Amino acid sequence: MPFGYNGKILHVDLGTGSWRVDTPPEDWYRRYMGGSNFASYFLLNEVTPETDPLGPDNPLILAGSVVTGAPLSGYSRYTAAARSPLTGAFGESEAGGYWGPELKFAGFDAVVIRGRSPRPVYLWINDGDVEIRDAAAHWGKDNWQAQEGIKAELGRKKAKVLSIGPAGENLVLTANIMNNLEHANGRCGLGAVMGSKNLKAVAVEGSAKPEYADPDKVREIARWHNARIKAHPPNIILRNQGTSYLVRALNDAGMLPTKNFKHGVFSGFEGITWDAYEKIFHSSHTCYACTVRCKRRVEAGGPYPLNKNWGGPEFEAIGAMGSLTCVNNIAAVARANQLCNLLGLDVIAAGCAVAFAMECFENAVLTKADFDGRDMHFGDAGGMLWLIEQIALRRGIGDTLALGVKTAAEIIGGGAEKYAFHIKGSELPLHDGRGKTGMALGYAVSSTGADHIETPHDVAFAGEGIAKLHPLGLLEPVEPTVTDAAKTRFFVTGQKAWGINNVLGLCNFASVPIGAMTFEKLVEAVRAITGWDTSLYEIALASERSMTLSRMFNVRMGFDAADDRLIRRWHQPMPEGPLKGKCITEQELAEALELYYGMMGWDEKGRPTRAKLIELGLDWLAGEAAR
Amino acid sequence: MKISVRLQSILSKGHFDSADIFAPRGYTTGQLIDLLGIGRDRVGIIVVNRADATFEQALAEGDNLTLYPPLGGG
Repeated sequence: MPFGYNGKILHVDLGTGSWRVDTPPEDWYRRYMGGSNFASYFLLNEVTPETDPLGPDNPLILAGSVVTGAPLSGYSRYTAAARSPLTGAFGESEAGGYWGPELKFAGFDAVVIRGRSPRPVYLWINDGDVEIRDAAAHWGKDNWQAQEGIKAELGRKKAKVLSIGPAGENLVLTANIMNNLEHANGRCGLGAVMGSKNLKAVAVEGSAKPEYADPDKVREIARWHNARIKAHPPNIILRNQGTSYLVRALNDAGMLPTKNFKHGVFSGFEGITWDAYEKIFHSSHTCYACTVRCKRRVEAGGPYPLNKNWGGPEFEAIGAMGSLTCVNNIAAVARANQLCNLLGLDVIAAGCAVAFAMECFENAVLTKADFDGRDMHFGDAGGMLWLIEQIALRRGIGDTLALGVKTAAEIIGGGAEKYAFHIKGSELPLHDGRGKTGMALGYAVSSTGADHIETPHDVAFAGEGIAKLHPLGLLEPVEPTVTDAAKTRFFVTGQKAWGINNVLGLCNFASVPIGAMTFEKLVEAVRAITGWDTSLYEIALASERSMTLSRMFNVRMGFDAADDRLIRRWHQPMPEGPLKGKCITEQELAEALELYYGMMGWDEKGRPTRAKLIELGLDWLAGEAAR
Repeated sequence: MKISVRLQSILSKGHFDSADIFAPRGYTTGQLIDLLGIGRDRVGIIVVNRADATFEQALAEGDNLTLYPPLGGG
């Protein structure tokens, strides 16, 4: 028996109603470790450019890691992945909560779901047993009704359920997967992939926690980590304010995305900061075994009713449906967030779609006739709530916006593409590249399109840098708003540090470098959990594999360097505020990308070379590589 | 005791970029932040002599203290 994981991967074929259990060798686990890498491995083994993202041959992967579910803060995340129906590229999105650990306790390290069921079904995975159950009673229901209904039907109150809402069923290309109503695999339209398989939900419950190689050491590290979380400034802020603290901090710094990414300062920001949020705050909540407690629950009556069970908005939701749309009322933003959670829409993409529609309206590209006779000005909370529902239910203009802003702009025409902001077809998370140029580089090169989770945020580069990055050799400071060779060097290594979290399923808020963990203790924890004599070098190598594997997937799908781009607004000077005049020039971006490819062992078109693949032990892909 | 303080990014607004502060002996980083009137909820990362620190860490003569706003994550 391995330590820390099960050594079992569940493969389900919904087309035939059958399943099998694979037992990959230890070397496979050690090379790929989990999450993003497991996903890439399965996708690269079967997806071709001809694979329809919404067809039966696109596998949906739900994967933890070798350490998921260990009793340490931040070890709860799992990856959902498939070929993205939104972008046609690599589709990956992580979520925390309780589902990932529960899958591990139910006997599996990952589930690969293929085929399409002839009728709506859900999966029930319980202590190694698998059942494909009829979901007719739950199809058409929102995420809350479906999850509660499935738990009641199974008679298992403690089962953990991930599900899709009406948006996923309706194949909205920005549909998400929710577990509880607080944790989302939000990005890349993976909810639509579930919907295309007629798969409403995956319920898991397990009683078999894996054994750890050195359980005393795991407990000792947990005690050390949790004591440090109590005193670590970023974790103190997260505990007190959740991620909403970023609204004030980013607005003060002049980089809070506002009015569809045009501005970095929002005049109505005080309506969406923690001071306003506190008035609808019900209680704080957390993920499995985590003492950071950054999650918020909200409750309110009045014009924007809020249910404490349906999740409180985190920063990305507040930015997307607050400053980006110029809605300055936190209760309206929280209501929009709960609508997205119930209907199963990615909050980032939903806010971006609303802001896009508002800018189209203000520039007469869309008119009242497109919105059932209503205005759609920036700042219109009622319009936003109405539009979110239209998108999820694919009604009227919502049917077009359900395809993502890139395709919607192509359909709308009339200059709409000037207001459609995306990278590789994916809407942007709420961080302005003019203030975080390293993160902008990450947005440009990410295999999933704009992605804020796999990317170092530039505060880590300034002054003396975050001391915790020193073990990676990142010693000299670089300036946040500058794009140059030093920044690119910092970014390449920083990306590997952040990538560790997506491979091992760790949360940035508890792990290295933002959270209270250190690399030294992280390595100790992986050693104590798995029994492997591993090192930071080996773990960083696994992280580098994840960037190269997902890149290889995109190369196969026909993406190249021309797709590594930024939005035009970040090439234009910031109009006002502390960052007034700042931008990233096209020349600076081109030079940084050339350097980045070189440092990664990719060719000038951004394709991994044969030598790099062989160095990373990915010989099986070397035949597809650039020479 | 003399502490060399650097304020990064927006924290320097209305204060200073870098300065030597003479603080009472035994002061912690948190107490010094309070003394400067920065507000603990504006501070994301505390670095003392190139190592991560908390609000409770005691300062010593000649320490280098750098403060960052909380701008990471999402």
